[in-house]
Amino acid sequence: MKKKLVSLLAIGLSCMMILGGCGKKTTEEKGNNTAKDSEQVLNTIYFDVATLDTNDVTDNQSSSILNAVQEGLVRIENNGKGDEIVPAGAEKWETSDDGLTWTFHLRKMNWSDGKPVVAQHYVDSFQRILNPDNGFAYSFLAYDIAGAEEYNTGKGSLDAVGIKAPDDYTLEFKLKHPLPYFVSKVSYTVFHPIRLDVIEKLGDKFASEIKDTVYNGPFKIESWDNGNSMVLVKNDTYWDAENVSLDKINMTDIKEFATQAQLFEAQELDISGAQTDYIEKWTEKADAGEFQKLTGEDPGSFYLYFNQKSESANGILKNAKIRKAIGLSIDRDVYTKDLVGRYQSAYGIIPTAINVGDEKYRDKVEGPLASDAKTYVNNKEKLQELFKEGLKELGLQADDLSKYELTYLSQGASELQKQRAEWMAQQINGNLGIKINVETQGDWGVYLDTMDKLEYDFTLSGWSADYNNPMTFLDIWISNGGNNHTGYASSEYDDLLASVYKETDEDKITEIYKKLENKLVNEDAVISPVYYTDKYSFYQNYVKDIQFTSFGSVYEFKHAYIQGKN
Amino acid sequence: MIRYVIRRFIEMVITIYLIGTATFFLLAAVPGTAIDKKIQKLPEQTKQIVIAKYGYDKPVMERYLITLKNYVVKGEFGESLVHAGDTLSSIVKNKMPVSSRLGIQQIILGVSLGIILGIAAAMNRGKIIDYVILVSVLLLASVPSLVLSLLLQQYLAKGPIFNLPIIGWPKGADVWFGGWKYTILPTLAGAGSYLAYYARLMKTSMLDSINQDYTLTARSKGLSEVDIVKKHVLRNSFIPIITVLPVAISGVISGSFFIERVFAIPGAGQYFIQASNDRDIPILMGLTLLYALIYLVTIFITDILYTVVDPRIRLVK
Repeated sequence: MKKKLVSLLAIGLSCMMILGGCGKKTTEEKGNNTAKDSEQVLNTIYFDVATLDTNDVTDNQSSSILNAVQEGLVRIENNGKGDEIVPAGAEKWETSDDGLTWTFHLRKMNWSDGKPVVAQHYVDSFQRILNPDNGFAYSFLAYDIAGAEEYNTGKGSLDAVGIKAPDDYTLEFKLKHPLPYFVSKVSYTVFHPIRLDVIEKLGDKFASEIKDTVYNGPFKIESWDNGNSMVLVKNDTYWDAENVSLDKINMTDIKEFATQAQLFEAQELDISGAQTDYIEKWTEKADAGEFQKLTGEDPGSFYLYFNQKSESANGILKNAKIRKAIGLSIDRDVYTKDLVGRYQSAYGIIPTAINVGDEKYRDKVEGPLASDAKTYVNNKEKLQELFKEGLKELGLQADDLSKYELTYLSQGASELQKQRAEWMAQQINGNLGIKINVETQGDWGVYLDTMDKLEYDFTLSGWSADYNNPMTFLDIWISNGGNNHTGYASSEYDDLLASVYKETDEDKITEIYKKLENKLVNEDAVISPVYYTDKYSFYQNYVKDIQFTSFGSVYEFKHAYIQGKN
Repeated sequence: MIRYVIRRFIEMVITIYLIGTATFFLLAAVPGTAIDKKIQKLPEQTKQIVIAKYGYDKPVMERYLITLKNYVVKGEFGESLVHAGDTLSSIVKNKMPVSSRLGIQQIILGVSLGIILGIAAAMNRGKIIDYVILVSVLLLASVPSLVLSLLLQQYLAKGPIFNLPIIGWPKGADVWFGGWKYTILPTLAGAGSYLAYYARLMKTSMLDSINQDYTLTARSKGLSEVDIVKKHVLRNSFIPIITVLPVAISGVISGSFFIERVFAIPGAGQYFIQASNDRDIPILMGLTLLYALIYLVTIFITDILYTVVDPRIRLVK
């Protein structure tokens, strides 16, 4: 009897193993096929769209979809060499010598209901987003326009805002200070043209209506099951429709990554990100030619925040040298290469993906912490020497460093995050000899609240760029800035920041950025950079010309096509 | 009977009110709001404007009274702060049928198989079949539904034998009675826990009844085992089953979180958890009250059912 049971189990197990083996697919060599497939359908994951109201967008999920179905002055594309600004709604533009007037010449194109897209539709968009009664979150991106901030904060009138439509195909802006990267700022989705008549007709439904609304982009929304799936179809009334190849894009929400991975390997999903061990496994497969891999820079920066108001350990975090020593006692290369297996070591706050003019900022300016890192990292003596100098400045004892105890606040309760937090604590404890406790906060809302209330010692968090210029990382640190979260308040920093707007020469501006970054990271050690984020996407061999941008859509579908799917 | 029903109804209304109030204040006490991520990057004055727009600048009591007025006087249950256009009625219309069908299929499969196995185990107590049932049922109960879902998905979907879809759920006209192939794996994944529970419950309950005096009497009267089981034992064993069934049914409506997640099923279970993470207060309030209501009504119906199954039970003294 017992033997029967055992053999039953054995058969059962071997059945599972055989089925498991049969599940794997091997890709075969496809024959040479230069023509596009007859079926142009792309299957991707779902973008969690919060709103279809152009002016109300604050997240990259909503903006990616709106960029696919609407079009603004320019479109952001990326052919693998970095983001490019491509004329779209505007054919060309120029700026006056003093840099204060920008004139855009619009392309002739129509909305999906046949009406032409005219300059007034852009004016309406800017005026609507700046309207103080609407409370739209990203209105501040338009503050470089004369009179905009005053109108938006209720201190000025609509007439004083510097936007005009001299005729149907000309759009004119008057700025309050010169801004060489103005086009980059107005490329964002919230400034796409709108139709006030449609908004009035739809009322509250505007944010979720897909059938009775109007589109002027490459695609239209055919169906939407909010939170679960969305289908986009080609918009035949788009001005460049003949260059759009995809007929349909199916988006399905798959929250469980194991499921997503299975679908990607079964070729039911065409593009996927990767997590943990899948990164390594799929990188190998991509190198072997089973599918394509896209890796690149991402405009995100992660760094240690220090709470300068913290009273822990006799308030040692009030001293810049102490903060700098703590930041230099971790080995960033070990973190990115060994511990996490991705990202790029950072010695400044501005990531490599950010431009000044046409050049990369990081090519022109070395990270402020780079040279000190060479002498201090992994050098216990020098680190402790720096730490003790700080202690002396505060008038505290420097004989027994183990008497100082700080708490590292870690976000996220997963095994991975815990492991990385422990590593941080060990690095600092091992090099400086001070005690580090790790406190975990799994819930993002609670974590943010703690940082906001300055109830922590130090933590690792980050920022991603709103637009392609170093300012998006530098203006966070003004005194009383809502995202400062450190208690840092320096009138010198504030004044230096304001001086940027007085310059028009790009080299002079870059010099000011260099001074600001050095003050922030090196002299005042407000934060300690750890890594810049990166992009890691995988897509099927038969998906061509799909683009992944840093400042535009997460996936840019306009030029994509299918070729060689079986 | 009428007085009993009226009294229970009043009790339910009071209970719902208390639950609603407690939920509101508990949610208000949790740090973080639905708009936090939205406003994180904004300059200070803009933040204040957005906060005022969503009403978060008002004190808790004022917000409570506004919500109370909306619910009771206007019959408005609020709109999602995160997904534009989602209201309680749209969720009931779109998501609940999905979760309900999944849950109902799981219960039908799990409970009926469980009861059969339980009866088989009780009637063959001590023999091999009893042990086999015991062990397999124990295994099923121990494997978490997440693991079971992933295993089923990995090995039974897209294989050469079965070729079931990896994800998905019937949509549109098929929502209740079509698209069976999508429902097979999720149903199997969830039926396991019901099967395990009801098998053991049925077996214990039957064994209990078998040892009662009336069974002994029936046997001495000369009735066959089968007749004894059918006429006396089964009916008495059903009381514990009825007790837990309503709870299971309410669970049906709220959905199985892990199974929905793994098979990408657009149900209410996932939605509720996501709403918690997002601090989508209007949706959380609405759904909590709805589930509480369903639960209370189910308990009420159960109490009535008891009198049907066992005439000895009276509702009031």
